[in-house]
Amino acid sequence: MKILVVSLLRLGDFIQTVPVINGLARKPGVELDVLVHKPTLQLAPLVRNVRKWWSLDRDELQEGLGRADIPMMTSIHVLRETLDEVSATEYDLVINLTHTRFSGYLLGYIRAKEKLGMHVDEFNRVRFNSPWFRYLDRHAKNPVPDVLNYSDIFLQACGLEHADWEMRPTAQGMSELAALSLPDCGALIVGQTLTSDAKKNWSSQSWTQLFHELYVHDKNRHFVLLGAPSEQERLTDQIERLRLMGVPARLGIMSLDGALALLNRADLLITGDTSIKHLANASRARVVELSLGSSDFRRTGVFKSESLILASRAECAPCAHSSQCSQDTHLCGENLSPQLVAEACENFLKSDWSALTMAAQHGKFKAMRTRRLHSGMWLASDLSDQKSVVQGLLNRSTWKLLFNQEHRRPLAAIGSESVLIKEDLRELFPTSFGRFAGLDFIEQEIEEVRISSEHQLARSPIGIRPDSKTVSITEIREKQVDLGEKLELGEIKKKLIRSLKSQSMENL
Amino acid sequence: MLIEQLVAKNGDSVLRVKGRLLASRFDPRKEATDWVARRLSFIDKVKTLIILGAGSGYHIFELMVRTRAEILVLEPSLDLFEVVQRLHTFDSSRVRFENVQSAKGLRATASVRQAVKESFRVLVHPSSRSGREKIFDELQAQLIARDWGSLTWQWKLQGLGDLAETLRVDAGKLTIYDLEQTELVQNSVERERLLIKALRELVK
Repeated sequence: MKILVVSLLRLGDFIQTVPVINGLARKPGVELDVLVHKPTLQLAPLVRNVRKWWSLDRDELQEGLGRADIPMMTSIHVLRETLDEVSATEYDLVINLTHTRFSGYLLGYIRAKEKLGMHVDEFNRVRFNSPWFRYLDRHAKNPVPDVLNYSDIFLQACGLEHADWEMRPTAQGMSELAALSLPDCGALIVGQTLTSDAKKNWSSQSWTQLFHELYVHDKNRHFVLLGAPSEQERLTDQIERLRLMGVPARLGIMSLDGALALLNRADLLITGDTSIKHLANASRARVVELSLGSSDFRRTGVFKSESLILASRAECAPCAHSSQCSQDTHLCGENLSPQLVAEACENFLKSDWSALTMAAQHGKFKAMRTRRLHSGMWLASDLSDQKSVVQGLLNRSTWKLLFNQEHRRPLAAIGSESVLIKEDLRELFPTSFGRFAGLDFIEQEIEEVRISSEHQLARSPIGIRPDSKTVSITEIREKQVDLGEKLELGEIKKKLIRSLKSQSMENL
Repeated sequence: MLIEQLVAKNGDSVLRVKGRLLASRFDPRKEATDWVARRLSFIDKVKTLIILGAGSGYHIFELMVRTRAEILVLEPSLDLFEVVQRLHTFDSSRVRFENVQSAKGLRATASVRQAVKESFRVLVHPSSRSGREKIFDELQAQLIARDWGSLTWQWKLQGLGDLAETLRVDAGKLTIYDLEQTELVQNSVERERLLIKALRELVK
């Protein structure tokens, strides 16, 4: 079976699709190719099992449309010729993991026996061919109380149970690592201090202070500040400041091959929302993620289990990607003091989750512990909010049962699923107190949603009275589907809660 | 036309027409390398590179080395057209010369008509253009096709028919948005429209 995976966004977005690529490529008889944005080709040596790498240069196509000295037709011809070549491979299945309109149209153009993920058909209708991708479409950007991690959505949509992040270390990477001449003794802490967006950056002073605190705590530690060639100047300044404070820090301007080799050697990576964070999923390094600005850890947080995510409690976080910071100062960054982050890192290195929980309950920041649940889904559980964790566990199981249509089977998997939830609760909250916290309240919320949804559905003969003067049948249908889904989710969740409650009673 | 053949400082032959040098008198090969380095967009992706101006031929050689594209050299001067081909030996399987003296002549040239049906990029050789700006600009506009007439010619060659009459306004300023609105695209094969819509997303 010939499969093409389309991922046309940035490096970090592509790395998030690696478990899907590994999972599909390892199925018997599968030949897997990828179509990526040109800069992603630098990952090719690290990703196993891809037969052919197709690429599009999005920036060049864009340039061709705008520049007066390039023929109007050049971008059109080049895109058509590339996609015709792709179509000539006669793929059995094309999977779109990009979820942009651009990719949707491209998928519409590519000929294949079957398509999965967003694509526009020849009648201009948007298709997904999977409830998971429809979910992604509805929840990709909207502010919602809980949302699935993108890697989970991709894995579930492709019917994959395991997240295999394996990436292949290369000789080039090992040689870049050797060039750093790292000492053999003492813990290695790597900092990826710069991100692609100023809003996501923690201040340079905060990073310097953090590394100083970590060094003072254990003077055997050494530090590497990791970055791309374009970041060299700024990182050199940081290194200089650290050296003046007596902190032994090295500059690691490396390729992604080098970064992977370094992370395999590191004891801890402290990072903002970067592609390196996703690369660390394939390494042995433990990860502390600082989720600032527009970074939304729920959607794109570090996937590796037992990682720590620190985020601000600022009400404006996470902010929109495209807008500037709405505050006079960088509030979300300022709420994370270097001393608190250093203390959190120390407790994290000792795996002292109780101390981290205590700190989160009294601090200005949120602390999340990442976990691959027994249900197979990812969750960043908020250490200071047990109710949200219970809610998160229920949501994931509910979505899984609904989208995989497991709830429709004669012998519904509710009982087995609730056992998995209970297992996670037991591991997350070792003391029984509060393990089932909030179940009654959640049940009450479901009932309120049910009443409100049924009321909305009954408001007019066709379902919903649109706010605008013009009636869009498509919009009305979408809302009806939404409300219907809400009701169905509520029913499944109620059954899970009842099952959980009966199990908690059995425990008594 | 008086064409002189001189020897550059590095020993290469360069041409001079009416007192104007068509390549560097010091190092024409390095000049050609620099010239191509400033024009990298699409050159490794298109099927044909259409070069306006034969110059002293060094830029043509450089493109042969740097790309795998077919090279079509359009030279309005018949004399220069012949001298350059005597000065160098080009790989005739990849490089083709055409003596084109007007936009009408360009539209009638079979190799040009064939080239614009597939991906191509136009590169103007500045030294060749100097003193012959009018004809060079006319040929370039026909190939760049940012106006209704030129674009209609290219569309028709692909069997797609006429562009909408409404696009006659704002000559030279056609964009991908205009293309999406044209009746032609709306009525063309639906898959073609998906391509146009995809590209429109890139410039939003």
